[in-house]
Amino acid sequence: MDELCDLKYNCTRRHFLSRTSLGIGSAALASMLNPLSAMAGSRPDDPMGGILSKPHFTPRIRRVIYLFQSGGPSHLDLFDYKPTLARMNGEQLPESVRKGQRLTGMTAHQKSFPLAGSRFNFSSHGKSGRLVSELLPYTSQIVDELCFINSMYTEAINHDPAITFFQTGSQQTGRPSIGSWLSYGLGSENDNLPTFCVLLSRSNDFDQPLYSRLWGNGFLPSLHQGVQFRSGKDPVLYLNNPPGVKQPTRRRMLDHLRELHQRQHERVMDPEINSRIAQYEMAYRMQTSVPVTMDVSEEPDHVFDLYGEAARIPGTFAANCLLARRLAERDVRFIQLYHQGWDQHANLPREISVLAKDTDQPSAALVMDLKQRGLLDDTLVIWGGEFGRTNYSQGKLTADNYGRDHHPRCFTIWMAGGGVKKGFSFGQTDEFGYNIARDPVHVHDFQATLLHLLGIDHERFTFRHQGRRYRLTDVHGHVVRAILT
Amino acid sequence: MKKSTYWRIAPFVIVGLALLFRIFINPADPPNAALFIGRFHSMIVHFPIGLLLLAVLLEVLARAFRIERFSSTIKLLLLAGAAGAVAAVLAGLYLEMAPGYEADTLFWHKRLGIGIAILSFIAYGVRLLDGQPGTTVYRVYAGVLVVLCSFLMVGGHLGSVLTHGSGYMTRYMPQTFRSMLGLGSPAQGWAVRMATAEDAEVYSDLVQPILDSRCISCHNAGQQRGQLALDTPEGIEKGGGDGPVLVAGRSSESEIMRRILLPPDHEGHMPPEGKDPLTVAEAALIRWWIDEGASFDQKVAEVTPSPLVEQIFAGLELSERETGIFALEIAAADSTAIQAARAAGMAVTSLGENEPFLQVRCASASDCLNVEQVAALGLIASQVAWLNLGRTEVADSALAVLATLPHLTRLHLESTSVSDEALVHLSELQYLEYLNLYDTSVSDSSVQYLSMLPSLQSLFLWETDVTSEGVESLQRALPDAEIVLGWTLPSVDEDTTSAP
Repeated sequence: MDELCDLKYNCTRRHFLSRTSLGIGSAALASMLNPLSAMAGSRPDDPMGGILSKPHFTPRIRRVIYLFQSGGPSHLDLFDYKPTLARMNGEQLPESVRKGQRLTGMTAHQKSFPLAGSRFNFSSHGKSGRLVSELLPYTSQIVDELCFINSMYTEAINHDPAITFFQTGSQQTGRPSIGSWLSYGLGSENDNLPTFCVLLSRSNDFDQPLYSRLWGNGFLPSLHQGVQFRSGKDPVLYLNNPPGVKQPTRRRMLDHLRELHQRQHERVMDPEINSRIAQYEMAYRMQTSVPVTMDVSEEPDHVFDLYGEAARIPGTFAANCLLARRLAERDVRFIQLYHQGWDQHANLPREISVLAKDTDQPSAALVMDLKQRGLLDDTLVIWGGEFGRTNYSQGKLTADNYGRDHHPRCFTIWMAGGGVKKGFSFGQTDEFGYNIARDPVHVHDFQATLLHLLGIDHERFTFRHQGRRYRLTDVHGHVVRAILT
Repeated sequence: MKKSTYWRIAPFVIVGLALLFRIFINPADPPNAALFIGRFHSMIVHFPIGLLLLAVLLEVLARAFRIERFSSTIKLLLLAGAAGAVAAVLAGLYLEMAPGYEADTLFWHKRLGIGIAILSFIAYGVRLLDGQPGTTVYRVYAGVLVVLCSFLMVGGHLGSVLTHGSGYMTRYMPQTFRSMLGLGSPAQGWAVRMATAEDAEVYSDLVQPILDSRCISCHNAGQQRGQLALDTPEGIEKGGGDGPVLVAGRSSESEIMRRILLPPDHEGHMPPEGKDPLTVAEAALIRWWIDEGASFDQKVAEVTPSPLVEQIFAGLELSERETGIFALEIAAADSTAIQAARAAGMAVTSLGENEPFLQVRCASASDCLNVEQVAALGLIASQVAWLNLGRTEVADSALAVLATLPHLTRLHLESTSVSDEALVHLSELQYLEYLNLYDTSVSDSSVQYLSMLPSLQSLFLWETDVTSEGVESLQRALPDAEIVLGWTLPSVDEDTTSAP
C-alpha cells in the first residue's frame, strides 16, 4: 500500500478510537478545531506547551544542567576514598569481593588483578567534612553545596550502552532521551530557544565517540530532540541565511513553505508535518536568539576569573559551563553538556589530572555562579559519568602508574540545586570500592528522582508507541527520598 | 410544525448540544459546569443498568414460561434503558475530565459504556420486529442481549473500580473466598492509628500486627514451616531451622529482612509466591524495629524514628508533608480568571494536579504588569505562589500589586529597575521564602522592609548597592535566611597534585 495512504488511515482510526468513539462527524470536528492538540501532542493554548498541563505535584526545580563526564571517571581517584586499597596496593583482588562478576574483554584475560590504591591524596572539606581528592581543588571548596551519591550502579559495562542507559533508560537505542521526555512533558518556557540544548567538549582527540541519538527524540515528536550548539561561527548548523538571502525573503519563504506544509498535512494528516512547521519557525526565531545567547563578549572579567581563563576559548568545557549558565538564565529546560575523555584504561594518574584540571574549576564555578544569581534554587546541576572504574589495575601496576577498566557496580556522582540536600553524601561502597555496602541507587532510581524533582511521577509519565506505553524508567525505578529536602 | 414533531426532535437536539459543548472544552482544564454535569453520571448510570437487566430478566421469564403479555413492557424497558444509557454516557464524557481516574480502567469503562448505549438501541430495534424462536431475528436478538448483559457486568464493575478502587469488593470478603481469588490478607491502617498513641509499643503495636497478618499463617506454634514460629517473642528469638531469624541492631544481616527484600519471584522470598509482598511501609517498620535493637517492650516514644518511619507515622504513608502555603485550604482559581490572565499576556501554569496554586510570569519583558495584567492578577490573587518578573522592564508603580498576593512564596525581581521604596509592598508577604533582587539598585534602606519577611529563606543581593553592614543587620533580623552577596572561588596553584 502507498505509504502516505497508510498514514491517513492510521490517523483516522486512531482518531476514531481514542478521541471520540462517537462517530466520524465529531472526530472530524475535533481535529478541525484543534489539530495540534489532537495530533502532535503539543498544546497551543497552553504557554508551556507540554503534554502535562499540570505537573503531578509541585516541582522543586524548573531546569536541569547535566554535566555528563563521558568515559567513566574513576570514583576511586576523585571521590571515593579507600585506604584499604592503598594498604593492599599490589595484592590480588580477593575472589570474595569479585564473586565471579563479569569483566570487560579488555581485562577478562588478565592473569593478575593487582589492587591499585589511588596515587592522589584525599582530605576532608567544608562543614560536611566530605573527602575529596586533591585532583579537584575547586570542587572541594563547594562540597557544602553538593549532594554526593556514592552508590550509583548501572547494568551496562561498555560506554555506549551505559550512556544510552543513563540518557534513555534503555541500553538499546531508539528511546527518547531525558531532555526529550522533559520537552514533551513540560514544554518550553522560552519560545526563542530549544527546550533541550546540547554542548560538547573534550580533553583529547582519541576518546570514545558520542552520537547525536544520545539527544534524540526516539518515538516522541521530533521537535523534542536536543539541539547541538557548536563552538565557532555557526553555533547551530544551517541556521544562518545563505549568502544573498535577506531576512524578509526568509520570512516570505517560510510563510509559503508553511502553506505548502499545511496543505500536505490536510492531505496525509501526518503529525510530523506539524513538528516540521514548528521547527522552521523555531529556527527562524533562533536566528536572533542564538547569536545573542552565544556571545560572551559582554561578560565581565570577574566571570572569567570564576570559570577560568579557558572559558574565553570556545569549545572548552569551561566555555560550555558559562554558556550553560546563559541558557539557564533564559529558562532553557534541559541543558546537556558532555565532556569526553575520562576513559583511563592506562596511564591513569597522568591523564586524569588533565581531565580534572579541565573540568574541576568550571563545574564548581557554574554551581556558585548559579547560586549567586538565585538560579540554583530551581535548577539541578548533575555531575557524573556512565560508570566507575575498577579497583584493580588494567595492565601493569608500577610505583607511579596504573590503569583502570570499566566498573559498573559502583561509582559516584554529585548533584546540586533545588530539592536535594546540601553537604550530604548518600550510600556507601565496601572497603574495596568494588561493591555497594549500603543504599544502592540504580540508574532508573536516579531518573525517577530527577523526574520527581521536576514534579513528574515517573510511573504516570508515559507515551504510547507500537501498542504499549513507554516510560523513561521502563518498569523500574524508585525515588531516592533520602536525598531530597 | 406539529407539537409532536418538536418532541421527536428534542432528544436529538439535546444530545447534539451536549456533544458539541463537550468538544469545545479543553479536557486538561475543564470548567466547573462540565464537572457539575459529569457528576450526574454516578446517579444516572444505575437506571439503565437496572432497566436493561430487568428487560433481560423479563425476556428470559417470558421465553421460559411463554408469557406473551410481557412483550410491550420489555420494549418499554429497553427503550427507557437505552435512553438512560445515552444520558449516562453523555454525563460520563464530562466526568472523565475530572482528574484522578486510572487511565487503563477508564479506557475500557468508557468503551463498554458507549457499547451498551449502542447495543441497547439495537436490542430495542430488533425487539420491535418480534422475531419468533428459530428465526434469524430471534437469534440476533438473543445474541445482542447476551453481549449487552456481559457489557453491563464488566462495564459496571469497572465503574466501581474507578470510584472505589480495585480492592473494594474483596476488602471485607471472608479469607476463604479471598484465597480462592488468590488474594492475601487485607492491609490494615494500623501504622497510622498506632503512631498517634503516646504509649504505643514498637513490637506489640507496630511489628506484631504485620507478622500476624503476613507471616503467622504458616509460621506459628502449630504449623512451624521451616521450624519457625513468629507468633511469640520466644519463637522469634529462637529462630528457624536455618538459624536465627534476626540479628538485633543489624537489619542488613537479618535473615527475615533478606527474605522480605528478595525479589518477589525469588524462591526464597517471603511471603512465598502467590501472596502479596510486604508493602514498603511494612518492610520499613520491621527494618526500623530490628535496627533499633529488636526489643519486645520498647515504646515508640523511646526510639528515634528514621525519616521514612516518620513519614509513615505522619499518616501520609510515603507522600510529601505539607508546610507553608501548602497546608492552607485554598480554592482553585476560576478557569476563566486563568484564561483572562493568559489573554493579558502572562504565562500561568499550575503548580500541581492537586494544588490550587499557580506560577506566573510575564510573557513579554517589555510589557510586564500593565494595567490589564494587574487587573487579571487580582482575580487569581490568592492562588499566585510563584511570580517571575525577573529580567523585565516592570515599572515600580506596578509593584503595588504584590501587596495583594498573600500566598506568594517565590518572587523574582532580578535585573529590574525595582527601587527600595517599592519593596514596601512586600512587607505583608508572610509566606515569602525566596526573593531574588540580584542586579538591581536596591540599597541598605531596603533592609527595613526585607527584615519584616518572617518566612524568608533565600535572599539574593549580589550586584546591588546593599553593603555588608546592611546584610549584617538583616541577618540579625532574619537569622535563618541565607543571604547571598556573591562568591569567588579562591584560585588554586597550578600543580596541587602529588602524583606525576
